[in-house]
Order: sequence, then structure tokens, then C-alpha cells
Amino acid sequence: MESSLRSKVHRALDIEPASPTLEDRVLVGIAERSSARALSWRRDLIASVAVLGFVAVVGGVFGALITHRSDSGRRLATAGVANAVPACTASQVNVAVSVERRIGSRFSFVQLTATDRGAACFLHLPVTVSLAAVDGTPLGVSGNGATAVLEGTLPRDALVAGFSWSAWCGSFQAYLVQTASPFGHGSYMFSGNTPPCPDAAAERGPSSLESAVVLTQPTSPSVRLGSTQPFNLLAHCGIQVVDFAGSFWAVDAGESIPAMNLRGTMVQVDAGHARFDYGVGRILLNRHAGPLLVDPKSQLCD
Amino acid sequence: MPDIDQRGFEATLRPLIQPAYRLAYGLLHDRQAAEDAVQEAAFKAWRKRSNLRPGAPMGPWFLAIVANESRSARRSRWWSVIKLPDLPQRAEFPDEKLSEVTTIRTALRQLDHKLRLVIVLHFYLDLSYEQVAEVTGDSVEAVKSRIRRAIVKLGTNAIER
Repeated sequence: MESSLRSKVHRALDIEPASPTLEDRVLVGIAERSSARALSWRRDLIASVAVLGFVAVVGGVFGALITHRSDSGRRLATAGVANAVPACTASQVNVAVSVERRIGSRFSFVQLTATDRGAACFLHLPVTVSLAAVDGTPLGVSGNGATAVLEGTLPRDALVAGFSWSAWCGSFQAYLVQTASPFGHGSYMFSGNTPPCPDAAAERGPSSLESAVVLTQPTSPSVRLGSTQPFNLLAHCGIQVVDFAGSFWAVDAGESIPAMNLRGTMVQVDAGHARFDYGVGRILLNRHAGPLLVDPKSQLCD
Repeated sequence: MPDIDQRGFEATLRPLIQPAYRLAYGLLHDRQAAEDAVQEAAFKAWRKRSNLRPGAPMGPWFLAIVANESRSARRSRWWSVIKLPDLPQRAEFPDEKLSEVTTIRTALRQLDHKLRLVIVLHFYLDLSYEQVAEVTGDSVEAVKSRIRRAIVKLGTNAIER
């Protein structure tokens, strides 16, 4: 029995080997991040010394002038580099496709992330995404075959685009996400138990696919750890992610949110967790790293 | 442990990266997320290298960091993806194999982290009970017991179909 299970587990998990460049990227990453940390430490030290030695106003003004000049120069240099980099070729770019399905959410997000495999390059890549049944038949989803453009300079920019699939759950146990771009075609299968939709089918409305809003920077002000803040959780919009204390927070996978707007308080418990308390319950949230896809309709509702 | 230089650390780490990826992939079922977890774990290992006991092998220690990193990644998101070959080649991936793959992956996803971890370590990385125990920090008996429970939870569909 053990050998049978072993071979089946191998077959199930050997589908996606690591990228050939993974080892090098890991080791280069250590070197780069180590030197960045060392540099940061040196900067901090230099800053501290500078503060201690800061006794003359003239010196401060002079320093500010130097900083301003140096920043301006850096911005110009960056723009120059961005304009000078060559266009990316297919062999330089990897476009990863992932799907995010939060339990209880009305929305599923298809995310496209472009990463480079080598030197810096400028990417302008329209990618068309289609949803299909496992046999390749297109799903009856309004807007199916939507296109997003990945554009920016690699590896400097985080190139993320994606789609929001509303009223997605309950319909399909397995489906394909097919991508088409000038760089090639791909087919990805998503399988597993579909998370249950919390609301009745009639309330979900027609299923549709449309461009998602990509949020890259939280806009909420920072909050002291442990400090309780009044907070409105707009749960009726299907939002499972919030912007709080200068970070994005995702509802914990095991949590369910009542389908209504909730007034309560939010507190950041530790570096990775926050908690929303309302009249009769509480909801745990985990810090969400990286860009965030949001349904455009959710953004507008309040 | 005496502080090892970066080259020595990299030389020791390099052969562990593929097993680490397999562990992360077994837990996350997504290549991008698994690679991210390995990269993050590698940097954490480098920063915390002084925590490794003198003379202790780096493998189990590093795999434990990868497992923790994968667990954190899994907590923050709930998704999975299977990358198939491009459509023209799909004939090479028969339906019955696809069904079996789906069944096993679904069964694995339904296990909680601790059970999934021992299954992946023992049945995918092919580690012995003793080696699994080194990674999880449990006794060998506890590992055996947990693997038995995981097999029961995986269910006969996943094993005997």
C-alpha cells in the first residue's frame, strides 16, 4: 500500500518541476539581500552619526541641498535606464498564472505575474485569458476571453495584471484557464473542491470576467501595535481583504463573514495578524504581501 | 556554530534547494508560490545560520524553515493551480491520469498542515521516519502515528483507486 501511495503522490506532484534557474536565483537572492541589509545598516549608522554631529543649522541646510540634488539626479538616471532598456523577448519573460479563491468570497481572481529570466528589458505584453471546461469548451461567462496588458521594465517593476471572475463558485469542479499572448499559449487546470458560496445562486447574479484593479500600495495610516481602531468592514461587497495600518490584510481561510456591513474595531495583534471585533463575533486576518487584485465593483461600493 | 562564510553556506545549501522546492510544492501545489517560499526560506536560513547547532546537518533544519514558510504562505491565500503542457500536447496526458492526479491532489489539500507535511516528507521526498522526525522535531513514534492517521484521512479513494 505504501509503495502504491508513494508512486501516486509522485505522479500527482511531479507535474511542475522547479524552474531551471531556481538554484541560481536563490543563491543570488541571498547575496543581494545580504548586501542590501548591510548597506541599510551602514546607512543607519551614518545617519545616526550625522544626527549626533548635527549642531549647525547651516550644515543642515547644506546637507538638505546635497540630498535634493542627489535625488534629482537619481530620478533622471532611472528614467534614462527605463527608456534605454531593450524590449523583452519571449525567452526572457516568464508569465505565471495563479488563481485565488477565497472561501466565502463571491470573487475569484486570475492573476498574471511577469518575471524576467535575465537582463533588464521593457515588456508590453497583451495577454488574453479564457475560461474553459476541462474538455476545452468555453465557459458561459460574460466577458470570457478578456485581455490585460503587462507593461513595465523588468526586473525593476512588479508586473501584475489580472481578472475578477464574479459569481464564480459552485458552478464548476474543475476548469481551465487558457492564456494567449504574442509570446505563446498556455493552459492551466484548477481542480479541487470548489469552496461553497455563502449566498444563494439567485443573489449572485450572472457570472462575469473583467479586468481587476491592481492595488500595489496600501494607503491606510500606520497604527500602533495593539491599538484598537474603529473600523467598518464592507462585507456585503464580498471584500475579503482590507487596507489597515499601512498593510493589506486577508481574511483567514477558515473564517466566514456574515453578508452585511460590519461596524466594529480593528486591532493589529502582531506583525502578521490583525483582528476585527464586532457585536457578536470576531474575524481574524493575515497580512497580505505583494500586490492585491480587487474587483472593480467592490472598489466602488461602500 | 562558528559563522560560516557565504560561499560555504551556498555550497551546503545548493543541493538542498531542489528537495526544498519539492517540499514547498507538495504543501502549496503552486510552482510560483513554492519557489517564493524556498527563496524566502533560504534568506531566513542565511540570517539565522548561527542557530544551527555545531555539527548538525543543514538539511532537516532548512527543510523545517521551508515548511514554516510554506505554512505562512498557505495561510495568507487559498488557491491551487496545476500547470498542464500547452494544449497541442494534451493528448500525452490521458484523462485517467488527470483524474488520478486530481484525486490525490484534492485529498492532500484536505489534510491539515501537520498531516500533509509528514505525507510529503515521507512519500514525496522519500525520507525515512527518522529523517521526517528530524525535520518536524517530533519523536519517530509520533511521526509514524501521524503518517498512519494521514493515510486514513487520505482515504481509500486516493490509495486504492
